[in-house]
Amino acid sequence: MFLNALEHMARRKLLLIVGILSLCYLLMFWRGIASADPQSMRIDSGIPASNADLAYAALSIAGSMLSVMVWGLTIVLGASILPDEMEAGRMSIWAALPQSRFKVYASTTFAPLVVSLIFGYLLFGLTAIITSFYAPFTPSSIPLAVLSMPVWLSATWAFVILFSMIVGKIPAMLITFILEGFAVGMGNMVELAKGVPELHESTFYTVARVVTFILPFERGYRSVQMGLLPKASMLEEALAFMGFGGDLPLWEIIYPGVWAAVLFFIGYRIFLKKDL
Amino acid sequence: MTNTAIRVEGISKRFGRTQALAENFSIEIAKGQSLAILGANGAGKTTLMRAVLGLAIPDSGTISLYGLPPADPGSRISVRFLPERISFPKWATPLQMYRQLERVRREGREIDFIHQAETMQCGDLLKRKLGKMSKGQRQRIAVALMTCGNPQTVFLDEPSSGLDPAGRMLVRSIVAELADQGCTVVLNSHLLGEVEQVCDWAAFIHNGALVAHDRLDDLSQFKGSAVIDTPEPVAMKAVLNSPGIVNGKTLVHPLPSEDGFAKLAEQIAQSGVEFTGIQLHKESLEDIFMRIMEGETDVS
Repeated sequence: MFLNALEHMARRKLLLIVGILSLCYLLMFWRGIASADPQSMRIDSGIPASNADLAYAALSIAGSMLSVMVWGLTIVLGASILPDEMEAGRMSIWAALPQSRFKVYASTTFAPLVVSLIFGYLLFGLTAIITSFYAPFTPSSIPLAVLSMPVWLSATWAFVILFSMIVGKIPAMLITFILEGFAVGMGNMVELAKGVPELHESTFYTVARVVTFILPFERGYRSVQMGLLPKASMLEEALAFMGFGGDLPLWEIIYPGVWAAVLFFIGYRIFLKKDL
Repeated sequence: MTNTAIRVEGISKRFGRTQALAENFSIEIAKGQSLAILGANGAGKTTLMRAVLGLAIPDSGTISLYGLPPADPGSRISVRFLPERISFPKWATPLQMYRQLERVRREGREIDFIHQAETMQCGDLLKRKLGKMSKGQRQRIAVALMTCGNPQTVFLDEPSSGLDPAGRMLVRSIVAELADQGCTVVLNSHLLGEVEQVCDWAAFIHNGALVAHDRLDDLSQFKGSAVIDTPEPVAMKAVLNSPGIVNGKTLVHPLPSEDGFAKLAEQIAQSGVEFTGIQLHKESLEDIFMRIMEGETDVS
């Protein structure tokens, strides 16, 4: 059943569009970094930038763009899979076959996650590889980046799947986009406050912490970035102030995965009681 | 070993304010039975079918399919369902759809599907994309997909929908063949002529309640006459001294009760007038349908 869902997913025109856009992005990125010269860059007191600094800058900027693309793909695919299958009457065909509702639900919903993950790994991976050609660097932790990707995307995926069953496709997409933007903003606030202890006392900081706990969409993304960004970059400290990089405690990396699992099972409970 | 294929006990189903299946809806369908579910639009026929397959969750009551609840995937082994409305993916060919279904069903052979598609006269469409087919062609493919091989039970919701007369005839022959092979057939159709030809049993649903469930023969009421097919209806009328009506090559002879049929048959045989057939004039399925739907629910 999972293969069927994946086959349906792979035939979507949306994927072709995203694929072409991704290719365009990679080519642009390639051109951009190929023409960059770290020696011409100056940091703080006029010290020339190193390759690690160039890589850090490139990956930080690219990461923001990539995250929007991969997030967008996850939201659009995740929000449409169940409503589209139900509307087309195919869900009743799958559910009338000798397989459990859990299998139907899990197979159907995992397909968009897998597609998003493939895109995520390809885009981030190729970006890092292209970067390393022109500005050789040592990533902080590739395993962290690799393992954080499913945690990051599963939070968005589980949320949008659940909401697509409650409010429908388009409202689910909009709600998720808005809340993600909000969560990213609050996440940046939390990161920013790491360098400014005085902010910890503010109500805004408390609100930001609570939001990142309730909507942990960006924690995983942050750890993907953390894993990919180069070690020993002077830019790290400078940019940490703006919400890039920084350290995340382990529980903040694991927590979005647990949160996604809970939402996935709440979604399953709803699906179980749904008339198909 | 029980002979029951489907048991529905005391279920009810409501969609918002609409009571799709009334309180305590119960029905039992034996293995090998070919049952037509009949009723007006919105009577609850499709809901019943979907509830049995576990697609609609009843508010109360229990359902079992071969002794297992619909939530158990084992209950749907060798069970096929053709919904009234299905939109195939446009990119897929019938063969790709079949393979997708078989990834889960794991009970058929591709050759059986090809054979069934040929029976439905759509064998030449197997490699064409479903998105490039007409509605009727897609329906033929859908019928072939859901009836190929040797299913134990088939649920067909308006299988002739969108088909031309030739396609409808093919559906009838496939359903009749399945019934002959001992497959349990549950058919939801508004084409009473189709139903009459392929089903032995009928269940009438009115406003979500089961108002009649019996063999078609037993549901059909005697209409107070016998129909005699003869090339000499006028002579027959004279010999029998019948007040009946001559209609073409038939004589409709009034009978006070079914009991008089044997005596009449004997009389005709001894009359010396040529005849080709004699039968009790009973209600057609359309007559039964109209009678029951008009509120005459006493036949059950």
